[in-house]
Amino acid sequence: MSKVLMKGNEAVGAAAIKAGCRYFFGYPITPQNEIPEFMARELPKVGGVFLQAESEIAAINMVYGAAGSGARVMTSSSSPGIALKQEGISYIAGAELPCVIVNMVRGGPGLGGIQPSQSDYFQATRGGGNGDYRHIVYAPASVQEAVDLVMEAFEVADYYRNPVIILGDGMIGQMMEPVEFKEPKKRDLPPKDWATTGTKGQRKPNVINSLYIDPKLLEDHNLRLEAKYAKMKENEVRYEEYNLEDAEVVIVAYGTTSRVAKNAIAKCAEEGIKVGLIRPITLWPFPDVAFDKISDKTKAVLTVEMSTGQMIDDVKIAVNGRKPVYFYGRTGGMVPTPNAIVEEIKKIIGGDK
Amino acid sequence: MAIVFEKTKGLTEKPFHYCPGCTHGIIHRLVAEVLEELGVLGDTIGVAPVGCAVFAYDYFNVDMHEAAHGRAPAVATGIKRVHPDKVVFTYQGDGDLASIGAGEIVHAAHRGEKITTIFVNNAIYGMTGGQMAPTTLVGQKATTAPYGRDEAHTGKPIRISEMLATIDGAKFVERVSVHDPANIRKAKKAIRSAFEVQLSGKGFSIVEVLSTCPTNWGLTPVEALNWLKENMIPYYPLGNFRKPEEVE
Amino acid sequence: MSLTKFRFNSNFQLSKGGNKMAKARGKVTFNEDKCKGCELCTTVCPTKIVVMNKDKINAKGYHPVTVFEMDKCIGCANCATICPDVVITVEREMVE
Repeated sequence: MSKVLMKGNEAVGAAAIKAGCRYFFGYPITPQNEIPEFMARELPKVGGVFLQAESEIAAINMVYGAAGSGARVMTSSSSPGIALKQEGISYIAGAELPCVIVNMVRGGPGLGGIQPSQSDYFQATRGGGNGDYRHIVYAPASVQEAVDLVMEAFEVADYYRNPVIILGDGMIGQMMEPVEFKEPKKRDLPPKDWATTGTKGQRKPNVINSLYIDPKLLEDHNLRLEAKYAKMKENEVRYEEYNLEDAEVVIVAYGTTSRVAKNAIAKCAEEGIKVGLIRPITLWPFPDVAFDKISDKTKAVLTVEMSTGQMIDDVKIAVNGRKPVYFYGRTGGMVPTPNAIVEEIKKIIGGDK
Repeated sequence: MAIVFEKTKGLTEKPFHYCPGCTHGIIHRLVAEVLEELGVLGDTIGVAPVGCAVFAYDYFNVDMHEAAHGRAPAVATGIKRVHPDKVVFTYQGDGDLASIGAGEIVHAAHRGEKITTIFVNNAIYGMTGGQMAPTTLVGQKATTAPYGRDEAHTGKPIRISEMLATIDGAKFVERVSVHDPANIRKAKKAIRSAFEVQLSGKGFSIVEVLSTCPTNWGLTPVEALNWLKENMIPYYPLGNFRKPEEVE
Repeated sequence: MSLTKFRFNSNFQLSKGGNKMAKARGKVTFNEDKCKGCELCTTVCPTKIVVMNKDKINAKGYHPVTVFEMDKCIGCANCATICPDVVITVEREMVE
């Protein structure tokens, strides 16, 4: 299979179409405009439907309608637009519908900036909408990984009947890298007999709904959802471990920040300092199990994020007091440099901290 | 010689970031001149949109709020209800007002909010790079309508002035253009009348200004003025759609 | 001479009354470094004297606007009216 040089945003669109997504509803916002623009060009060619909604709120509700009607559907946006979608995402999770939502994160809060960031970690993993719900959050670190995860996301969404979030950032969206489109591992998917397709007089009506006015029924519903989420925690955790053996410091970083961290690790190796990396690929469920692999020789854990510190909370829970946890980050759209991370590591092992 | 035209005090010293030939520059100036001539610069609070004019808060020499995309009329409502004696205006593009903000502008007009809205209609999304707007013409190409706007798929463009004129609380609704000096002078008159309606406490006022976007239309600034005249005016007729009896 | 400021409007009298026709004489000055070379001003000058100065490049990298035949300027302010960047200041007087 040949490789194609593609811009991240366009590769995400191409991956969705390859995975059978035929419906896309979105709205312009920097830095992800190439996703709706790609879908506007390409979906009609495969008999799909692209529609630019009047707002991100309208778009997520169009997704809700399409998903409830049995389709593979996607939307994309960036931080302030994803904030608008939270109500819709809560409804989609409550109604147990599958869909893929792509967030190319930018600086915040509010209108913020257009440069890349990782300051939507809480929004993605804690869920900005109301209620007890969860969704799997994939954090690609390259355009190829974004393609692979988007293609799998549609399988996973259908398998669990749940929204799946792809958390990228402006760098993943804008940079160009070579990609191959490989078939994802297909899951055993039951037919969508719950979807609203018209009863044709042959079955009882299907209702897509998140309202359970009887509190006992609502609790039962939430416990069912909780059992589903427990299965996700059991089966869907993904992470990369890199250089953990004999590492003096273990960095925890995801997405493009993990690539900067790998450069810092290489620089440290030149100076004889052994540094490892745990790279969560699913931010939810968080790869707690990876932290059991940290060796006794490791002095400390350093979380590096493009935020003022959000994933660090989950890192501390996973480390569970076994090692000190430090933080280094840049925010507002600024990107950490390998040299700055090297300095932090030296401070940690030099005992300045 | 006497000076007959110089920069108004209603604008700050900051040079505009707009593209060469973008009519935002003309419209900002007209609003600023009107506010200066009415003597209300010190009592004005404006609300900037999300769009090319997002930095409007740096250009008007008055107190300014930034608003979330489409929400300026709601923000202006909050300001005007706290300061009913001040002049409050919103400055919005066609994505901001006619797409995501369609609900907010209808309800500001419906409640008769005593604010003035300057609506810049250039039939496209400028800041984000040329996507289709609710005001994009049928057949017009945009990055999210690469084959041209298809009426069967997304309908015909929305005529905001005609729509808002059906709402009782909208006391002044006029559509103008800025494609030549004569129309620019008429536009300024309409903007002044709109602010006078606010000052007299009658209700909501809006001026829809047909504008160019040379960059995303793929035309030179001069070609863009002609495109506006030949393509936009036939669909978006100029004129007043609602005014209180006293305004000439 | 005191500088009086007044706004151009369509009621401005070009004739001083009686049988003598006064002529308008104008002068425009340009804040050259603010000019973005959009050329809108060149299309609205009734005496066709507003041109882009192809021999010059301003701080922004554009050919700025200029007037070589200022004696033909009538101070109508069309150029300043259509300029999106407030580059132009217009002066005017009536002469016999």
